[in-house]
Amino acid sequence: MASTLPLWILVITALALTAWRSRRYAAALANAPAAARFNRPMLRLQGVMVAIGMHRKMLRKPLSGVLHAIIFISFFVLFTATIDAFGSRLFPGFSLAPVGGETWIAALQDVFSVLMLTGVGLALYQRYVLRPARFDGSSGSDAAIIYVLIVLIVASLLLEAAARIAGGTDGSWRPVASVLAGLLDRAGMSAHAGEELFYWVHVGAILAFLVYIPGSKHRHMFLAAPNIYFRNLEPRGLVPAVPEAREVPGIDSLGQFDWKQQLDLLSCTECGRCQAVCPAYAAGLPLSPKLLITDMRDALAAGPSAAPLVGGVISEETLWACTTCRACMEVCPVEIEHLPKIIDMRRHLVDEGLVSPGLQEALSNLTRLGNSMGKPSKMRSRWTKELGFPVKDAREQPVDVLWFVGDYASYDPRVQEITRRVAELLTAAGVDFGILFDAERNSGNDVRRAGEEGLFETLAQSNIDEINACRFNRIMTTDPHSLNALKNDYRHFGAAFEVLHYTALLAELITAGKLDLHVADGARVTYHDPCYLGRYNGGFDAPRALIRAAGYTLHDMPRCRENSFCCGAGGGRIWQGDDGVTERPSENRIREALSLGDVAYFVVACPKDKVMYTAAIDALGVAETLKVVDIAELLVPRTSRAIEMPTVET
Amino acid sequence: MNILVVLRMIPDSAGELQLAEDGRSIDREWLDFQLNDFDDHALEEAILLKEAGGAKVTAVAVGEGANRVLQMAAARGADEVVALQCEEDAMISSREIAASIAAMARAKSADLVLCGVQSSEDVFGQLAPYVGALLDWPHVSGANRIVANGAVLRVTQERGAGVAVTYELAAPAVLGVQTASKAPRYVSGSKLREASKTPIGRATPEPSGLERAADIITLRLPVQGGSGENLGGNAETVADRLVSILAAKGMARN
Amino acid sequence: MKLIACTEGHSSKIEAFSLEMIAAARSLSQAGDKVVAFFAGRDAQAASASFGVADQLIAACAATSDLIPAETYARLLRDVIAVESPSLVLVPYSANGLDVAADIAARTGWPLISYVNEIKRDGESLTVVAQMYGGKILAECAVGLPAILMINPGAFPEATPGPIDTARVRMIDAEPALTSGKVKMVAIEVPDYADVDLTTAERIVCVGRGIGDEASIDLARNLATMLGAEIAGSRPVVDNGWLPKLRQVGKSGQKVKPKLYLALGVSGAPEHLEGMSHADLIIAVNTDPKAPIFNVAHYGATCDLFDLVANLSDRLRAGSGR
Ligand SMILES: Cc1cc2nc3c(=O)[nH]c(=O)nc-3n(C[C@H](O)[C@H](O)[C@H](O)COP(=O)(O)OP(=O)(O)OC[C@H]3O[C@@H](n4cnc5c(N)ncnc54)[C@H](O)[C@@H]3O)c2cc1C
Ligand code: SF4
Ligand code: SF4
Repeated sequence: MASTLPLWILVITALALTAWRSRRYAAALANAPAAARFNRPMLRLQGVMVAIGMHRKMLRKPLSGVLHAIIFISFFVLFTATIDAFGSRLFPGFSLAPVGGETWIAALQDVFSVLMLTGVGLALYQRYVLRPARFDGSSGSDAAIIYVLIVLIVASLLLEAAARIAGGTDGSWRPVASVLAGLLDRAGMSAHAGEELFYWVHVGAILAFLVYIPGSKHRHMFLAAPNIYFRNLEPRGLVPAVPEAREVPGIDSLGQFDWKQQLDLLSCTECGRCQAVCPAYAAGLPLSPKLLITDMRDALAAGPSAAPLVGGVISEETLWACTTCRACMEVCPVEIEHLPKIIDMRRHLVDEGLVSPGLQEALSNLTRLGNSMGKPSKMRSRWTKELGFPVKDAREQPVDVLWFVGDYASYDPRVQEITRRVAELLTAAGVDFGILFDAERNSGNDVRRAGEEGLFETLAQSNIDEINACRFNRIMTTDPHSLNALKNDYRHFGAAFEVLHYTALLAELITAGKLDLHVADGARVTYHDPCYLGRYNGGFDAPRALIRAAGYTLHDMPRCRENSFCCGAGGGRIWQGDDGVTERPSENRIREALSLGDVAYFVVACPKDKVMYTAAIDALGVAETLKVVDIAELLVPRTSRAIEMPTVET
Repeated sequence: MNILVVLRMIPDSAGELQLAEDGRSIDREWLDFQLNDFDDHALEEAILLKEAGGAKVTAVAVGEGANRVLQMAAARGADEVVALQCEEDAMISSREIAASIAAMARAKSADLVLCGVQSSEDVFGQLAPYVGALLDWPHVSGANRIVANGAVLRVTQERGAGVAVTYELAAPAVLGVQTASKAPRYVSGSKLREASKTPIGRATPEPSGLERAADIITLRLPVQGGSGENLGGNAETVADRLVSILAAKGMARN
Repeated sequence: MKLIACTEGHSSKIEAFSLEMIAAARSLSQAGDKVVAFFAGRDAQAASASFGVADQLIAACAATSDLIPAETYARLLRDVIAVESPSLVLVPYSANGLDVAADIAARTGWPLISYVNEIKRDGESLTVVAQMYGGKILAECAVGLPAILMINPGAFPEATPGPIDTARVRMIDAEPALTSGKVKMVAIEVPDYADVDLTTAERIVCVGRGIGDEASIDLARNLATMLGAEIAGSRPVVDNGWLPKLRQVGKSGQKVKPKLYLALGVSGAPEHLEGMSHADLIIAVNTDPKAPIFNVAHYGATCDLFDLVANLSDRLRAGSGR
């Protein structure tokens, strides 16, 4: 056929252009440091199936999920048309007809063309009419170009078939094209000229699409699956260690990121789901997890440039804004890992000594005294003085449960009462427990996430040595942050402790009938899932079971469980000022609880939450309507006198 | 330029101070020691001067925990670190150590001696003027900005009520630093680990040469320690009391 | 015996604590003793107009300089000491005093005690009380004479200012000492109060949410003005926009260490205490007797802050009108 040669030329040119446009990425990936992401292939594959085949995360947003699924399936069906279009002319004689190309495949193509146009229509409606805020900062023109190309491809596909039908081909398998054929007829277009015209438009649009993709977010068509396949299978609460091969702890150029971290950048779909859930973004801070990724991606595309990565492409303020709440990673449909990147860049800042005064003070205190408050270690166990009974020193006697209390629970006067309450509950349930007294150090969870790897190692090693010198069966923590460090991060040092949160232990004791509680009258309360208990470590149910066991009715906030909204304290944020914050995440959250309209208590299960939300309630001046109480305050053993809960008006 | 910077270890300001049995000293056994804050600023200023115009910085530390602080100084950029031996479990009197510092300044051919303007244990006098007088070098205390132009120093001094005075003097000189031009930098844990290998020199003290200033007869805690006096709930009597309390401190006026 | 009270000034002013030094010397002097005020500055006008309580004024003046650097001050003082052979030299704890006291002590070999709050004289020996560890400890010391004491401003009441007659004034030309001095003054800056720096403020009046509303801030501000204090706020007050962020005290605001901190309607959350608990004198007013601010306050009152502000303002106004 006469069009074979021109088509070959066109295809080869397009492929060459595509390759040329991908060269920077290809080179970057080829030169990137290694990443160990090849183990457990079946598990990896399974994840890809769930993520892509079932659109699991996508469908959490119903409209986008459904429209994406429509486009996605249509794409596969219409790919048969693409094979046909190129195959038939590149290799004269090739045809899908023997397998049904003129019958059922044709019918599918016909129907899915319409579905595809519907999908694109919905996408246009979403992007230009509904305009969700998560698209802020995404490239609008990129999306528009893609929509135009898709519409061109599908329309030309239909019209080409229509022209053929108008020229006499049987149209009984192509109902939509048949209708269009009638229209073409009436327009007086020559069937043959029409077929040729629409064919070349179709082929041209497909090749244009191909050439366009390397510079577009639609790379994800090719990269989403591999990016999900190579996702991180380590526990969520484990920060990747500094690779041995790296000479300095941190990263200050894109090329130092391993290939998976770089692949992440190329896979971003700009969907903005991460931005929509980010507490730092909501607080008005200069951090959008989406822009974090796309800014680095654009820098990668631009090639080696004059602007440094840290402090240039990504500003210091951006890096320090993150609370490490992990909400972004939780929702990302293509499993992009924002946090390891942020932490690696923070490691660079810390190593250079570029930290804010507040953070510097906290870190210096931690270096000197093992707690961020700058309090003497001797005062760590002072809260035990006001208990009516002595607490065992786990360094001297064997215990069943080694209680790792944590900084806030030990030192903050607002939390000490809760700490004592936990001690009383354990005693009431007959638990044999002890603490480390002044040998305990901050767990280092947030120190590590603030990028201070060296100090984290010092703190962790000191705790591990102390813990290893004790005889115990299990470790219990008050603070979800310590829980995470002891359970996950300490694995780096070969420590494998059985660690559980106090809510888990208390729930266990109640189930085992060891703790008999006063039962309240069903008052409605809401519960805030702490990031490091819930999202990081899956502790969603025990706290809820405790609330029920104490006789309260739980009214969850819209953002609960995996979607819980961070209080704003994590990752070292609690040590920094809040310059630039337009609405504190903790206040945003209290407003959410208030909007439930019928809850008296805001129940928390993390010492930092008690502090953050008490301050938020002070700041909003709503102490009369909502009280922050720790779960432990709801639990009153029957053996003790019923305590009076603070009353609030609702 | 050779800079000698003095780092004194003092009882942690956050800690609770308890008196020793003899009532003439504080019980040092259970105390945490930390670098005197002003000395920390002096160290920072020394490193800033080194970065601005090149210098060799020698840090000399006195007191419990000196090694730890010297490693930190090395991580921040000190070229040589020396621990000055001192009497164990005794307060660090600047009057006592001044002769040792002066001797070391000579031995190291220092052009500039920097130390914090004060320390919490310098009741018997401040280090910078002592060392300056012993060496007969000019000294300026309360410095919060130092610029070196060759051997010529420009020193800005913080005086009360925000008045700032700038002086010019020629090295060699002794400066008592109040605040560094930039807040002391943070040293990361990994840098500290690296610096832990730095060899630490030892120096033995010189006899002070000055007589003991005085004998401490007793130490005591101020009456109004932690929680204070309750003035009650009657606004009129409270106001009367406050006026007299303020007047006694010379603050009942602007 | 002779007592020298060192005094200071710059431009045409004398520092207020100069009168305290003279009063301290006076309070120690006995019959037959002589109190000599030593002054170094641009001119002796202000000094001779106020130091009447002293028996003699020795004024070293140099018309070419607004300020005599400490190094020159100390040399002039040394010459005076050589001539007068005093038994006691009182130096104020000031930027200048910090350079002068130990310099003289080193060169004379005399004992020096700093941060002195109280002095008791027993014939030829003294017992003094000095602050250590930022005021957490008081040290009682025995000192033999001659000696130098560095006195805390505010520890002694001011002497009543009054002129000293010219016969009792000895003038020294400080010009030669100034010219041969090794430390030259090149600039003197007097602050512009447009941008506050709470961290260096000596007195602060801080309002908490107990102040209620923005309009009431003015009441506290007026009180602050009368006390020569800066106004500051807790976080909720700043959040509400009642005071600018620069005036927030606490963890996410300024860390302050003034000589006076008057907290009105501040509960004293740990984040607030972190910013101010090291203040020298903390006075708290809060209707809630359990408010944690009382744990750090030196004086606490449980009356209504508005009543107190009104009463205190009245008394201060009356006082200044005397
Ligand atoms: C990470 C973080 C950082 C923070 N940083 C800071 C910070 O930098 N600075 C800061 O201040 N806070 C900070 N906070 C907030 C802090 O926890 C408290 O919420 C805040 O200090 C409370 O301010 P307040 O004392 O003015 O208000 P409240 O706690 O509401 O106290 C008002 C007080 O006024 C008293 N009162 C009411 N009316 C009267 C009256 N008529 N007369 C006398 N007394 C009256 C009441 O008894 C009450 O004690 C921070 C919190 C967090 C979590
Ligand atoms: S971890 Fe949380 S705060 Fe940090 S970028 Fe992600 S969503 Fe934002
Ligand atoms: S990082 Fe993930 S969630 Fe965020 S915009 Fe990109 S694809 Fe969407």
